[in-house]
Order: sequence, then C-alpha cells, then structure tokens
Amino acid sequence: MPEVARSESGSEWNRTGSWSTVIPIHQNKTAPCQRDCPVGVDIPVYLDLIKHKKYQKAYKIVKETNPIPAITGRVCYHPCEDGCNRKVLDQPLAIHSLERFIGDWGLENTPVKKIKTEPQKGKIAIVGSGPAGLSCAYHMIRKGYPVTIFEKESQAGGMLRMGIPEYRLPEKILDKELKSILDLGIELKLNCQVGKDVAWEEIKKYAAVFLATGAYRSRKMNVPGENLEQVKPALEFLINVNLGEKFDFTGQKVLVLGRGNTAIDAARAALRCGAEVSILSRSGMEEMIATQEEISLATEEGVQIVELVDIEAFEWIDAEQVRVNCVRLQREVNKSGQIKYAVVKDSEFSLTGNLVLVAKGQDSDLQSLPQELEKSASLVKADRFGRTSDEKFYAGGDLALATKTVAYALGSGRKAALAIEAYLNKMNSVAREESILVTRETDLNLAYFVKAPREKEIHLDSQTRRLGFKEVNAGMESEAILREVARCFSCATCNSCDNCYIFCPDLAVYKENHQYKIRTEYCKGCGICVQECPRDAIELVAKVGEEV
Amino acid sequence: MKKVITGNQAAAHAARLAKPNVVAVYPITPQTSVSEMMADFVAKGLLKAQLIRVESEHSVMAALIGAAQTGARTFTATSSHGLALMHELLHWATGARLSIVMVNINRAMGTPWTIWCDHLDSLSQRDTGWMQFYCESSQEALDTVLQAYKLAEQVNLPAMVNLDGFYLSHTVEPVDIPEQELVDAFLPARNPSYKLDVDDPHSFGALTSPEHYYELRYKAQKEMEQAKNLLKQINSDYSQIFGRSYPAVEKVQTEDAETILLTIATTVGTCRWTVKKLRKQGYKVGLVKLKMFRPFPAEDLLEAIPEGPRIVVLDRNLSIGMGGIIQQELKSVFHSAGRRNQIFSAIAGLGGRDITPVQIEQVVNQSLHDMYTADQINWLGGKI
Repeated sequence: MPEVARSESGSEWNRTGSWSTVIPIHQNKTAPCQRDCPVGVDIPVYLDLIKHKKYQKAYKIVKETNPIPAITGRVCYHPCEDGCNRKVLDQPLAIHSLERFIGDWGLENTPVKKIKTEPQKGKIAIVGSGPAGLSCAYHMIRKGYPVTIFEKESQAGGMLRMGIPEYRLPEKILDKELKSILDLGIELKLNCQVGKDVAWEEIKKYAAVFLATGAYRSRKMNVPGENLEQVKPALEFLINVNLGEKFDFTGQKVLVLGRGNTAIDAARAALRCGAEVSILSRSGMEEMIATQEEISLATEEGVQIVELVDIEAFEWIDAEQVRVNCVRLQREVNKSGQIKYAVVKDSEFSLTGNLVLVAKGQDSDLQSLPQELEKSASLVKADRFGRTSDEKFYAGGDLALATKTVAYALGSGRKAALAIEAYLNKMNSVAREESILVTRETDLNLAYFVKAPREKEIHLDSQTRRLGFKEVNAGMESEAILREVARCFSCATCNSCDNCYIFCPDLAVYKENHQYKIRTEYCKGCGICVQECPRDAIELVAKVGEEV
Repeated sequence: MKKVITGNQAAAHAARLAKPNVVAVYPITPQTSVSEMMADFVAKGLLKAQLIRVESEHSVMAALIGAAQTGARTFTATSSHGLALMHELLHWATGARLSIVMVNINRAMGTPWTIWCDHLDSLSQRDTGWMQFYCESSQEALDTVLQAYKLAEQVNLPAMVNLDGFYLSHTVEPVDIPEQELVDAFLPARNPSYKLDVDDPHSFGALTSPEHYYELRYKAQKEMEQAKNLLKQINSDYSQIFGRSYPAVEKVQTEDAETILLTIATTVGTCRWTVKKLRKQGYKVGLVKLKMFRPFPAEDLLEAIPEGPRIVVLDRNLSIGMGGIIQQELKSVFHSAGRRNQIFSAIAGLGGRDITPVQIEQVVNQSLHDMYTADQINWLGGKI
C-alpha cells in the first residue's frame, strides 16, 4: 500500500467524456469593433500581429479589406471604438491610432507589385475616384479584373482631396495611398466626365460599372437672403482651400452654419486663414452630428460654438458685411425620448459677419446619371451590396449612402466588388455572411485584464495650429503604440494564450499544429475552459444527440 | 554573511535559499513583509519561482497543494486568521503527504481585533498533521526554515515554522545568511516518489473506502514519529556545515534545578536571562526550551526533566475551558510515563502583552511557596 492515496493503475481507462452532454469548441466569433467597422477590417487579428511586432502580416490583414489605412487612420470617425468592450474596464482602445501606425508603416515598407489582370474576365468601369471608387477598383483588380477609373477632376481622390483639409489629411499621405492603389495596374482617366467627355454608351460597353460620383451639391436653407454674395456653401470654400486658393480673413468675422463635420472643417479652415469664427448650431452641443473629438479640437483652437440657434434671414449691410437674423431654440424631449427644438418666444437677435459659410449637408447630382436607374430624392437606389435597378450598374459612396463618411464609402466599394464578381460569374449568392455572433463585454473574463489608460496622440499646440495647415495630429510615439495595442482584449479571437490548455482538469485540451483540440473521450463538459478563456473564443455546445 | 535584519527578513532569506519553485502569497499583518520580500526576490531574478498572487489564504494553500503535487518545492507565509482560513487545506496537505513549508507569524485570534502575538493561531492547528516549530531568534528562524524543508521532504509531511509576531517578525538583530552553495549542499532539490504527471496519469486523493483510509492515517503517524530522530540527524548535518543546531528540546541549567521553567518561542530568551539572575540569587532554577511541538518530543522531555523538580509551564495561549495547551500536553506525557513532577500552569502574554522578567521571578517564587496548586491556572500578568 502506498503512503498516499494514488491509483495503482493509470487513469486513462476512465473515459470521463461519457459523463458529459456538452462539449467545448474553439470558435472565432465577431468582435464588436469589426462588426461596427463599415469596411469590415479584421481588427483583433491585425492588432494581435502588431502586438507581436509582425507588422508586414498586420498590414496585409488590414489591406485585405481596407485599401487606405494611412488615410482612414487619420480621418475615419472610428465607429469601431464606440463598441469596444474595453470601455467596461477603462476607456476604449485607440484603434484609429493603431490603424494609422500600420498604414504609415505599410506605405514606407511595402513595395507595390503590379497585378496581372485577365481581360477575358470582363473590364470594369468605375465612375469617380473618391474612397468608394478607389475601394471598388482596388478589390476588383485584386480579383484579376482590368479596371478603369473615370474622374472628371484633374486629380484623383474625390472628397478625400477636395473636402478634407490638409491639417487632417496631408496631401503627401493621400498621394502615397493613391499611388499604392493605382500602381496595382488601374487605368485612371482624369479630366474625363462621363456624359460629357465620354458618353454613357461607351461606359455601358464595360462588363460592369460602379458609380461613385459623390455628393457635392450643397443643400439650400430656404431662408431669405441666402443668395447674397457673402453667403456661401461651406464645401465650396473647403474645396477652394484644398485646391490651393489662399484666403486672408485677418480681422474678419466668419459665421459657419451647421452642426456636422463639414461645419467644423470649414470653421477650422477659416480660422487658419485669420478669421474670428463662430459656428451657429441648431442643436445643442451634445447632439451635434460632428464628433466630440473634432468639436473639442475646434474649440481648443478658438472656434466659438453657439448652440440652439435657428436662422431666419440674411440681410445685406454693405459689400463687406452681412447681418444674420437669428432666433433662440430650446430643447424639448418628448415622451418617446426624441429631441425637438422649439423657437423661444421673443428671442430674436442678430449677428454681423463678413462671410457666412453654410454647411447644411450635400446631395448628389442625379441628373447627369443614366435616366433608367431608379433614384430616390437624393440618392441612387441600391441595396446593401450596391446593386441598382440595372444589373450592370452598381453604386456606392455618398451617391448611394445616407451616411456620408469615408469608411462607409470604402465599405460600399468592397461590397459592390463582391456583388460584381458574383454577377460576372453567375453566382447565386454574393458572399458568405459574417458571423452574427458578437462577443459582448459579459462574455469576457475581465479578471485577466488590468486597467491601463488609453494612450494619447501628440497634438500640435493650438496656437501653432492657427498659423497654418500643418497636420494637427502627429499620431502616437512608437512606445505608446505598443502600450496601446497591448490593451486590446482580442475579443472573440483565440490568440493561443493557453488558458484552456492549462486549466482543463482532465487534460482534455491538447495542442496540435498550433491549434487547440479537445479529447472528447475525456472532456467532462465542465466548462472551466470556457470560463477561463479571457476573450470568448471557446464555447460549450450540445453534443450531437444530447439534449441540454 | 552577517546582516542586521528582522525575523521576517530572515525567514524570507531562508525561503529564497531553499529555492522553492512555487511561492503563493496573500498579505496579512504581521507576515506581509515576508510575502513582499519573496515578490521582490522573484522580480529581481534572485529567485526563479512562480510567484502566485491569489485571492485568499485558502487559495494560497490550494495553489501550493497543486504545485507540490506535481513535485514542486513550495513556500508561503501567513498569520492568525489567514492560517485559520487555510484550516481545511492544512488537513488536505497532510493527507496528500505533501512537504509544503510555511512560515506562520504568530498573532492572536480575533475578536476583539488584534495584531499582536500569542500562539493560539498555530496551536489551534495542532491536529492537522503539520509539523510545528517555534523560534527564539531570527537566526533560529532562518535555520529552522531550511531544516524544515529537509525534514518535511524526508517524511513527506508539511511543516510550519512559527515566529512571534513583532517580537521576532519586526525586530532586528544580526543574522548570518549562509552562502547558496552551502545551502544547496545541505538541501538537494525535492524529488518525491509520487508526482502528478501528465505522461503517467494516476488519480490522487480519490474517494477511499473504509478499507484503506485507516491505514493511511497510521502511516502518517508512524512517519511523523520518525521525524523526531531524523531531526537529530539533520541537526548534526546542519551543525557540520553551518555550525549551528537546534534540538527539539533544549536544557538550560536543569541538572540540580528544583524548579524548571518550560516554554516556547521568544519567551525562552526572557527566561534565559531571568534564570541567570535567579541563579545568582541562589535559586535552583532551570529552563527547558520546547522548539518542536509536532511531533511532540515526549521522550526528549522525559529525558530532560528528571523525577523531582517542579515544572512551571508558561503558556502564551489559552484553550478556553481547559487552560494552557503546552501544559496539557506535558501533563499527558508525564502522567502516562508515571512521573509525579508537580506541573504548574501559567497563562501569560495573551494578545501581545509583554512577558517580563519580573513576572517570571514572581511565578517561580509562587511555585516555591505553593501559592497555588497544580490544578489552578496562574493568570500571570493578568489584571484580574
């Protein structure tokens, strides 16, 4: 008899797996960041690669979906961060800073190789070279289709070039990203407006057409006096600034009307031209459409924001000045929680400015498109894969989307590319649906994560910013990048942490070819591996033929 | 190398020198600085061990049991309520025959809340099957931890090394910290006969029928009895390498003594001084230091104290409803052996009250004049 209570024979005969009704499976669900990314970037995977300093692989993963990470890392409003599970512990991950880092790294370190296309597959025409057009072109040529982009302006880039100021997106970054896409072998026809410089009939000869002409028509306010010389669309001003026109507003007062990001861009651009700038917003500060980040950057620089104001009329004072007649609004929340703005009685007041910039949104020019395409009031009608009423035509970006952002435009280009491929190959379905199982914060084991504050980006000081169009955000230092990426929970994504392997009391988890496997004949279905997985990458499922 | 350090530091240095593979820690006054120092050793690379921070003392012991079961050498330190919280697992460690070594810094039990010294915390764990040692000095604490590993690994039973809270844990004195090579020569790596091994799977501690349980307990008893003799050998080896040894029972001027004081831990030091003083005054007083409480060194005690002298036991503990625990054990041994020494029981220093030379002189005097009888408790230093 031994001194300890130890079985004399081995215990392998005891097939404890017969006790269980459930079995764990390693499965990758979707992280909320990826779900919320309009481009569908596999965020947890590329962040894990950055964690291990495998930058080339990380860049490759990003570029699978997003052709321009150095740009989106700068200008995307990062909806990915809104749903980040990390916020239950401290603050969401600064995903955009990491995207910018890997995007810049890729531009410096990844030579572009020309893709050999297969003309017999069918040539693709893309109308418009903004983010949607570029994205569709990028994904089509990667599938082997020859692609031609038609651009009516003298330079490519669409709203990336025309609408986004230099201080948010330096031209040299834009040019590098464009080059990295075009050098794949995409044909670009500049100064070529379809319907004018080239006939729609010619375009229809292509195997498929992706329309991405954007939205450049500034909306009218329908207020008396809005046609005065001193009242101008904010987008027009931004385009002129971006195309290199110099403005000197020293000593002048500029009033910007609007509550979106265009209003903020115009205000900050005008400020850099020397003006004293106020934004008049219909909504309260918190309900502005512009991101809080942009709002606080603008106010730091000295932009005044006057909330809850409606405009009743513009009045001509003299060639240099205009009077803006305003009325105060008050916020009212109705029973269903909707916010309405009501005019405050006897609250009329007026402001005087030298220039008024109106940023009330943009619509698309639908007149110049083929008649036969179905349209709504301001958009070309297209489904979520960009399919229009004509099977040959696809549409995306601001032309087809109500949410007019770079990320949505990129996403629409990518989805249209999938749909075009399906159409040309007579496939019944477009693409596999992504997993709808999303990892929630309650699915994580937070005991494995320690608090670490979100790293900060380096911003130019607000005084220097006002003096010119130098890039405001210098990104994160390389040390901060590594600290920040270490904060990622890797939700829903197995990163081989070995917890399931270590904790299994029955040695039922084992490793084979860098993957975890389950010895079903020993797994009791206790679920400890599931509980101890920090990131919801393993789940219990009912055994076939068992009821739970 | 001699350094002026605290008892806690001495214990931590000993643990470092023993090269445990796994150290689990949970803080509790007055032990915390031992845990902190272990963490520091690991952080600085002076000790290559897995340091596990856990959520309670119960988990400390559970972690060490798991680690020890795989063959690792383990260490932890605790105190008072922390030790009480481990109670269930103290039994388990014994049953599993795991040579875990733990330092306990003696602290009285609450409530009322207290952090000061008495011995009820460890003596309450009397029946868990752990070997128990009590230390008089910081040097002894260091040496005892090293000896405890050697002994525990020979008999496959856990060992608890006790230091008086604050008297020893937080006061400084010169301590010789031995060289690693010498310790390595004294204490080879642990290599138990039975290990939890994924390549040779066996079940450990599974449900055992009445057919077998009894004998497993018997074996543990026999093994612990062996420890009494093994300690003598270990002391002899230790003395050859380091020049120091600590018998389970030490005699001080007992040869012609008419009264013998018997006590444990730092009170031994106070008694040594007082005995010298009383001897100068012409009193025939001696002292017996009890270092090892489990296994209880019955033979050594009977040998140390001949028929005749009265014995005064200073108990820094109180088993409510019975009295001092040490005197109770002593009486049991002496009575079984047919000895008729009068054994006086004094309860002193509960909850960290100082035990002074004046009190010791007083209790010796009282015993000489039969001021109280053998079956009464002398509440020494009590305001009653």
